[in-house]
Amino acid sequence: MWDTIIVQPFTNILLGITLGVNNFGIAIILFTLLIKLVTYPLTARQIKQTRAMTELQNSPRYKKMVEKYKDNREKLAEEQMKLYREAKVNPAGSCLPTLIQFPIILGLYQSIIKVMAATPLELLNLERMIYPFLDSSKILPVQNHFLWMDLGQPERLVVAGIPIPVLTILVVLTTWLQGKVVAPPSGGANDQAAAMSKSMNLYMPLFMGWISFTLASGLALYFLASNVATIIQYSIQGTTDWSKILPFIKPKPAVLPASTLPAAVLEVPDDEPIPEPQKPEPKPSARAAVKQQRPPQKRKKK
Amino acid sequence: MKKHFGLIFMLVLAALVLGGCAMGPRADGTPGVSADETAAYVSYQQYVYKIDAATGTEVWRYPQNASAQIAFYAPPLLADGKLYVGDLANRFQRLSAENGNVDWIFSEAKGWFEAKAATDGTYIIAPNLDRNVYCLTVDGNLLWTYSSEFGFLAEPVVVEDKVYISSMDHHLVALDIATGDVLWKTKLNGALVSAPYYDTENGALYVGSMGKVLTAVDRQSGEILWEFNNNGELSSVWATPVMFGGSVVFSDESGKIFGLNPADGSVNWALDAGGNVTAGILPLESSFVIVREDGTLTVYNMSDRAPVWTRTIDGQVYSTPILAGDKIFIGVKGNVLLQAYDLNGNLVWSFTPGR
Repeated sequence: MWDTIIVQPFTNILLGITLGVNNFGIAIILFTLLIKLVTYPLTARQIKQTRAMTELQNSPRYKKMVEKYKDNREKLAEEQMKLYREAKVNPAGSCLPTLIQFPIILGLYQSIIKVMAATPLELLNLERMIYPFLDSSKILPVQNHFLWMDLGQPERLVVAGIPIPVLTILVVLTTWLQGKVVAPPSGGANDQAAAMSKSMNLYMPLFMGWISFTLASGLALYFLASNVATIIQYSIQGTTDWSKILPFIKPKPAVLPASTLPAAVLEVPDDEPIPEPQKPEPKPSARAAVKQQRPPQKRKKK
Repeated sequence: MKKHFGLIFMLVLAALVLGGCAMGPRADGTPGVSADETAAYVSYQQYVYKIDAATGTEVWRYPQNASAQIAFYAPPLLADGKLYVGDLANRFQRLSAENGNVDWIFSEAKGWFEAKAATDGTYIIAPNLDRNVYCLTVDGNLLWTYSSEFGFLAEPVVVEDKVYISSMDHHLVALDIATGDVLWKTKLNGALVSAPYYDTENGALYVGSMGKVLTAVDRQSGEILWEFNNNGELSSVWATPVMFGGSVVFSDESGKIFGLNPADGSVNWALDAGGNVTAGILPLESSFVIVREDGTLTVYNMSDRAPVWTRTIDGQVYSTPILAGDKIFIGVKGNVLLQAYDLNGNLVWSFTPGR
């Protein structure tokens, strides 16, 4: 079922592109771009929703609400939902497009693996996946060599006898770059999301690097193309913040200038004062906490 | 660190899923089998096994301790008490057939060894997926390489001082075995994934391809003698043809078996195996064996092509059965790894590797 709906069509499109451009490496890049293009409406919607959500969570009204109901989680949730409805923001709106994209990304990954068939059995299975209108005898086997890489093997560029994983380094860099410049601006109320985003920016490049280092370089090429395409896509949408890596660029404000939400939703009603953000009390160290709990001990006199 | 545990856990889990839970070579292969009268040798996943032909018990396995970095699918080549076998860690090794001890390892290749090697007793010809065919001495020293645009999956054929190689780049190539010089190179229709059959009587080579054609090629000049595509109805040919009863016999992927006239490629006879066939046909004295991919093993009479007996194997079969002594050995991808039948169709033993 999964193979018939997702993997087989993807594999055939990938093979069709390969047949057209006569280069599997370029076909992977073009196919990645094609998928990005097809999923663009979803991504655009995700960006819009994330932006609206960030804006809402940084609004005085939201902050006040959080402060007011900080001891009543149920009421807070109820009020939040009310506000979301009023602002016409779907709290799941930013992750739903991602969830829809996930099977597409997984299908793309699997189809690349399938096309890089390296054993007779894999080749046989690939041949059976090809639609009759594509001439399998002209397509197969797919030429796995692209630039200095064998796309079916982990990539290393040997320079002066030293194998350098160039593609892995590029994947790590672009994943980090993507995490840095694409992450939405966050304010006080969104600290948890910001912390999560910070952790992701730290671990995701390492994870992608490890995958690229150990698996077939065709996949690493896909990761690289996908990262670059994402950065370009977000840049076109105007939601990248290059000041995070380029200090000479003016940083973007925490709340995006062109508000997509009605002003009335963001503002605090006139009769309610805007709360000052409370400074968190410094946490006592573990040793200090134990000390505090112990009864004072008398010193023994010698 | 503690607060990031969940995230790290998810990433590691995702990495394991994407990596197929293995850090070694990710490949789906079939058992590679060789045999003589006393033993069968099977390459599969992390080991090469020696199995006693009489009892079906394991004699030894190589390596003794499995490594996630190493996998074997190429059928071992058995010659002069030695076993030559390549792996998916880009290494080609010679083992003692007696005890599985390593004599030497050739590790200059950059790709997987998936095809069976060939030898004339002096030279070892080992095709590789790195687009090279390596010629080694029996002591493991590299003599020459032949390069192509694609990797090699088929076993070479050595005849006198020549080696014939099916290439995935659609060419059948003849090389001088001592020097590696190209004697001729003929472009055929489609990738060649199986070895050619050498017809000593007619001096021709017969080879099938993924281009859905069986071709006869003159062994001296490389000239195409005839082609057979069953009026465009043939599917891919995955195994080496054989000759018996005055016909070139082969199966296409859909299970249509043909006996062709070696002189002009005209059809002498045809039969339908009733299911996909990727394994080659094994001729016996007065009958022949066909194993379908779904594990249906049938022996047919040579004279009238009537089925003699049929057995069902618990698993899938992709490789050609092997006759050694009085047994037929069949590599299985399924619950068992190797089965041995006698010539009357009785199952002698099944081998499943222990831990």
